Amino acid sequence: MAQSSTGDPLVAYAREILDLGRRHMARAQPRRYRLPFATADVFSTDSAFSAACDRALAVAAGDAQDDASSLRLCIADAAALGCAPPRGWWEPSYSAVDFERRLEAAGLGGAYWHDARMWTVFDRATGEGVQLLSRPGAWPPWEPASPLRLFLAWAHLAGGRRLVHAATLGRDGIGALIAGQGGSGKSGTTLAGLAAGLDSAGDDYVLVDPAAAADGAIMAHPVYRVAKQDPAGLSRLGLSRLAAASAPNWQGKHEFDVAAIGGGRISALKLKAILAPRIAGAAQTRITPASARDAMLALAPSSVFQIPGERVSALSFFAGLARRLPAFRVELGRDPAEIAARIDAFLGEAA
Amino acid sequence: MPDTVFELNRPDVVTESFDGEFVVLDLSSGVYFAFQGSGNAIFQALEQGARPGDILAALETAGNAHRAAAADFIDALISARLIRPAANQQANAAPFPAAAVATAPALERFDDLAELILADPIHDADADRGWPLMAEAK
Repeated sequence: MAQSSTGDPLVAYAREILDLGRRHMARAQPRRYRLPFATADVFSTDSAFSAACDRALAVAAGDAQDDASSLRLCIADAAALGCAPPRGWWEPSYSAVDFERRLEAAGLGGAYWHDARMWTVFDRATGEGVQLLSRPGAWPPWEPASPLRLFLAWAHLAGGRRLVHAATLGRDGIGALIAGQGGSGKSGTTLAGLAAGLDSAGDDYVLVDPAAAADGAIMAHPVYRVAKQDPAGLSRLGLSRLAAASAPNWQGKHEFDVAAIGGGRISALKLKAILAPRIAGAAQTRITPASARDAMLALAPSSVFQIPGERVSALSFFAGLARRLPAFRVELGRDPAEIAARIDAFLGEAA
Repeated sequence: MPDTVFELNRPDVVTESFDGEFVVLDLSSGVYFAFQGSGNAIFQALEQGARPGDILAALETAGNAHRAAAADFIDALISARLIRPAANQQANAAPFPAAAVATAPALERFDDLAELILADPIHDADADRGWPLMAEAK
């Protein structure tokens, strides 16, 4: 139930968390990460979280953008902040969407992870955010591959950019979004392309800017430089050596730096298409036109449901992408090298 | 509810149309939908204020073979809470073009992402440990 933001206990608790974080940030030293369109000063009391940021974030090259947001983000457990443990959810029912709407009405972004009572709160006016943990290391198992994901998603809304749950491949600065349901083959396709020397702006989340370039092109910017794949997928790709370098994560997948693949690199891409792959097991990969609706179905739901914040306008954002970018179905062949070559040729035609 | 005018169940339900083909998301459940065949035309007519009874009567009069499927489709939209009785019960007076129902309508339902939204801390939470671990829930 929406309530006025002034009298809403949820908003009051979110502001209390922000104040705790502000007090910590006033006396601590941050690590600075210069990311696409954002400079994040991260005040973490958890060395493992700092290590995850160092490993996973795709630090931007060159000078800072003029319109970069300045973020101050506190990642801390209750003991380090000297406060009571994070509150458990206290209302008789819970709706993630209602939770977000109430905070959005107060100018805040917020998320609550029930497993470990982790609160993530972001003040959209100041760019300050706090992730309050119940104890050191009590963050979600998916966090190491995409640290600061929620903060970055909320921060970029103001600039009309969105974090998108999709993979990418490109060459010579021209690329395609690769979107689809879990198991559609998008990560395997991306790794096959990278191994063959194609570039990528990311294999899980990318920052999409629909109006950045002077020519009105839609750009994808890298946010993370970590890729994931299960042992069977790595074996198919001839990349089993990467499995030995790390323990499997909560999904049984190995996480590794894209640079370790030894082929293509992480780079921003001017998007020319949306590709919706499907594991077909055919002898040869086939790329055929698809409808905007099919592109929308492949692209929008996982981003809208996975990334909190302004979900109604998110649908319009993805509809805009689906209308502006031509969409294609990709019936994946069996041979990763053949898949990569086919997509390379497609990108060459799209350039 | 043949004489009821319906509207989109906002703000939980959001939709976009691509050349007459709809994608519908239920933000409260994490379930999303698309329509097969003439489902798009029927959904659009309902959204624009056509009453179910008027749509089905137009199909009946035209001897349209998909009348029963259309009735089931409308029931499915209501059951899925994609549409609800409209606050304004002023019906759209434009006759429904029965020819728009050339193929059987059907509702495609995708729930692969529902677990991202459907965390219910009240019924499954452990007072000491918080929400059960996702790996255990699976």
